[in-house]
Amino acid sequence: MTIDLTQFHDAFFEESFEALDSMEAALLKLDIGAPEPELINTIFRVAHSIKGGSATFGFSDIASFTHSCETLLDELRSGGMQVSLVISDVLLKTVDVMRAMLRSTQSKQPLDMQKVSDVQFDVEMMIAQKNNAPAKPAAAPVKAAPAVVPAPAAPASAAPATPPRWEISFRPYRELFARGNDPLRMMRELAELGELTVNVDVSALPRFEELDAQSCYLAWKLELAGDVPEDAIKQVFEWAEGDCDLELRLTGGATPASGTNTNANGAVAAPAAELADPSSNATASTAASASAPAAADAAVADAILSGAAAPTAAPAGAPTLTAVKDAKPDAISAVGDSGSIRVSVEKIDELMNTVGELVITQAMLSQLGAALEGGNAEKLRAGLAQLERNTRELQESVMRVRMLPISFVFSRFPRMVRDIAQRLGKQIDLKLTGEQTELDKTVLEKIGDPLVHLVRNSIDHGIEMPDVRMAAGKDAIGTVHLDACHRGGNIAVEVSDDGGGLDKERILAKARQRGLVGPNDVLTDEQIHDLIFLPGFSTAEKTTDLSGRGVGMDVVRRNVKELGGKIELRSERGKGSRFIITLPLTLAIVDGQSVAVGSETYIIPLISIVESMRLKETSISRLSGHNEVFSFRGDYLPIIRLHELFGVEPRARALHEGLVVIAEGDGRRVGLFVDDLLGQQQVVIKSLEVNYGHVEGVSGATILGDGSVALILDVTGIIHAASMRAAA
Amino acid sequence: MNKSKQGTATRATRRGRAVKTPGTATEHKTGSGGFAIAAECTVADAGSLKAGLAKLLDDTGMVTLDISAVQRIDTAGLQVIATFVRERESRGRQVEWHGTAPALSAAAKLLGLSSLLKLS
Amino acid sequence: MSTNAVKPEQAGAGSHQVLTFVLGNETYGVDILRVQEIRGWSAVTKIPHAPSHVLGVLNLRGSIVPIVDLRMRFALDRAEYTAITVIIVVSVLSAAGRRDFGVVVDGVSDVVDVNTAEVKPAPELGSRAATDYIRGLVSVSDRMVVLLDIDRLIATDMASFAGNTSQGETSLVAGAAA
Repeated sequence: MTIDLTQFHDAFFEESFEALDSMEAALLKLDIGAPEPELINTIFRVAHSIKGGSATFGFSDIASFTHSCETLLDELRSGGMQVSLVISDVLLKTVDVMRAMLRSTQSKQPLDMQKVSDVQFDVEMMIAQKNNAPAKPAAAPVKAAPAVVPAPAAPASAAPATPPRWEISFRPYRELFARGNDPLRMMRELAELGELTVNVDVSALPRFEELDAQSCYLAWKLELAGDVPEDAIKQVFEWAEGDCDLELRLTGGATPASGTNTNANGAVAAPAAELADPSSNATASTAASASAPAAADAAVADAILSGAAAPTAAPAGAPTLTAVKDAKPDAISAVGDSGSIRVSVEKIDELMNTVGELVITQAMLSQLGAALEGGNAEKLRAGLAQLERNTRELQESVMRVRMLPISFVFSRFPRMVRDIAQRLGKQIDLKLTGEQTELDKTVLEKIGDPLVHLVRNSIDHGIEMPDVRMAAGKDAIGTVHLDACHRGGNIAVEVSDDGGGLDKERILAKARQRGLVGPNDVLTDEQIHDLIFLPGFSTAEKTTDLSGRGVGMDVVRRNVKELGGKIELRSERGKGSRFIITLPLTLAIVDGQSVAVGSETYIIPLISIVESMRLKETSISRLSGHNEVFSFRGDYLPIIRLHELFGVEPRARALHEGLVVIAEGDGRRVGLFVDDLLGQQQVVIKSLEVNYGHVEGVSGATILGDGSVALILDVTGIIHAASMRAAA
Repeated sequence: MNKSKQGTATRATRRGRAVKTPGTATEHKTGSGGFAIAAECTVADAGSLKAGLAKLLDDTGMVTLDISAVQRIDTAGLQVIATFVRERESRGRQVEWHGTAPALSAAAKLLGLSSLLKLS
Repeated sequence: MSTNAVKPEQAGAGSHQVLTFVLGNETYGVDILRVQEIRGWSAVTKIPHAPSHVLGVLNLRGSIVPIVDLRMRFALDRAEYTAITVIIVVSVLSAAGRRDFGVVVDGVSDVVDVNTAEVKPAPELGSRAATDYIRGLVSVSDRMVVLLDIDRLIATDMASFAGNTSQGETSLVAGAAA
């Protein structure tokens, strides 16, 4: 009986893409002069696993290509060939090719096989030339086994009496084969780590007639003798994570002082029993972290962690969310995180929605409770207050589930910067800080493109050519710095460079030339800088290299705005530029200020509000005709009467009888005239567009505590709508 | 483009389903009581391998398995063979081996199945 | 609100069930499968620059749903919203997917079984009704029921919703000009 393997394709593709990301990161991290064996092994394993999986599923082109890569990598890890810049470049190209091949197979789109054969040819040439290549002296024969442990013996004792031995219980689930895994591969790899003894358990084998040829009924008890780090063993089984029960137990030889890998709990896949080894100093730390940073282990720990492969980062924009992923940048692989599971995005969205509804219901109850009289009213109110605390906590917890570190987005930049810099002949050092800053997954997915554009901009227009830089007394190597941090309830992402900064005169001239600025207009520095965000201003940026989705700073600003954020620009001629993007932590809720206009209630996002004030009659002036302005911090700002804009009957028409909320949108500031400020609250954003449509000046709606609907305002839209009216 | 360094057989380019339909498998009978296992013996071929072996399950005499052609084998393939051998033995019937296949012996050793298969 | 449903088993082949409701002197019907719920009138939140027959939006089980006054839509005389004014929440299929709307009607009548064969096409009614949203006419218990194509009825409005606020009213009333 054959089973349809196509149901397992998705998981294979997903895992392969992730593996390719870690391969790419490892290649970028590789120090050509002194390549870390661990990194090379990681890269090898990626090619090996993808080859095996594609063979299983019949993707023979991919299997064939990755087989060539695997051969090259095998030479590298055995010392038959030395890593060089040329080889590293070719290997990076193979990552691109493998990605393209996987994508084309996944989406059933055709692929340009020319590129595939070109790169494969390069790989084969390299392998063929290995005998001609000057081999470095045997000083650095990279031992195949990742567990390089020339560790000094434990300080307390000489070589332990009995060598350490791992007892491994490997019990695959039935569908192990169908998922592209083959225990034989794993045995081979284990056999390279040490002395392997295999005991097979055939008790689950059915009668021949009942055998499903593609299900796995075998299980094994293995013994691996040798000083092998636990992580090395786990890596062997990492592709089978979730398809088997795996238990590791260390016996013999581990004296307490050496503490090598004394974490005896090696449960990898869900459901796993935990065994404690009484003979060793069992520190029950989680698998991924090296347990004992004691001096004696320094060498071992270093071998595991140093130059270890990439972060557990999934590709930016990956559709699947892995909840609670341990994002330690130097942890080797996802296998070690015994505490994580993959969760589909739909489930999380559903959870978020339900919690959002809970918040609304709880707000309604609180409101009703506030109005109650009678004996039990106090008790009820106390209970409701507790409910509000609980609900808020729940909401924050669920929001955190959706939050991922921005490293997922940052991780694509090293490669990109390297490629572009090389192509342009510039020397660029990319600095990444704050990678662990977390933000909501939906925000994360959409911030990538704007950041790519800003970084490209810095490289293209910011950083000068090395000779120009040196002539200016700067270092030939320019720096582009990506930073992210939490700032007062928001997240701030900065792209800065130490390039030439913006040329105000050129910008002004260009703006004048394009009619965006009048010939006699006087602009502040800030206003000049802002000009680059105008549509129609962009210089001829190449569209081909980007995702083709549109270029120009105006698109960047629009994207940021759609995320509910804002972008600012600081620049100094000769010194460099800084783009600062401020984003809300999540798209689902917003901190807002409730305002009353007549009998209507509106919510203005706090991120857009500068200040609120009551105007004195004397501070209001009138420009030509209708336009009212007032003075604020040295500038004259226009007043927008919301009641007029929305067609609502206000309580007061005289400006000094109401309040003005000074708000910001797209770099412009205005004063919004309202009747009253009602209070600040966090509201759940509901879509107006799903059933109705887009209304200019309105970004969404929310449900208040009394069950009624309040519109959430969009300041930029309001400014635009108002100026259209004024022009009409 | 498919030649590999280890000299495994060139695999014909093949898209689509990983599972061969029975009938395209290259097993062939060597006479009654005999079965020649094909060169490719992996999870994709396991189904048809089982189908081929099933015909010999009830043979009253000695069954000879010719493994000289085996080049690639994995756990799934070995599992089928092992189950076959085990089943034959449980019925008091026999299996003998003809030819050698380094790939098969090595795999059996790594998987701990050598004694069950009684490979010499 | 009476909803004396005709038992499904009694519905023969080639028939479907229709919720009938009253507007002024006319009885209209919508496919029962499109009806999400029926509820009483409650205050809506106004949308800036919406066409006048779009009264605003309501919170319906957590979704923001626009409420349309069918009397105004059909250019009938306006009526007061009373205690028995009713909102029928319908699901409309459009190019953008499923959208929910609430329509304000005077009162809801029976759910009736309509035999497709008996539906007569709507005659040209001059300027009063834009016949593209009328599926046909059928006689039920000696009453004439105007069967509405709810998708078409709302779809002609949707273009006016999306931001073309000032044009909304004109395109809306086109075909319903008195």
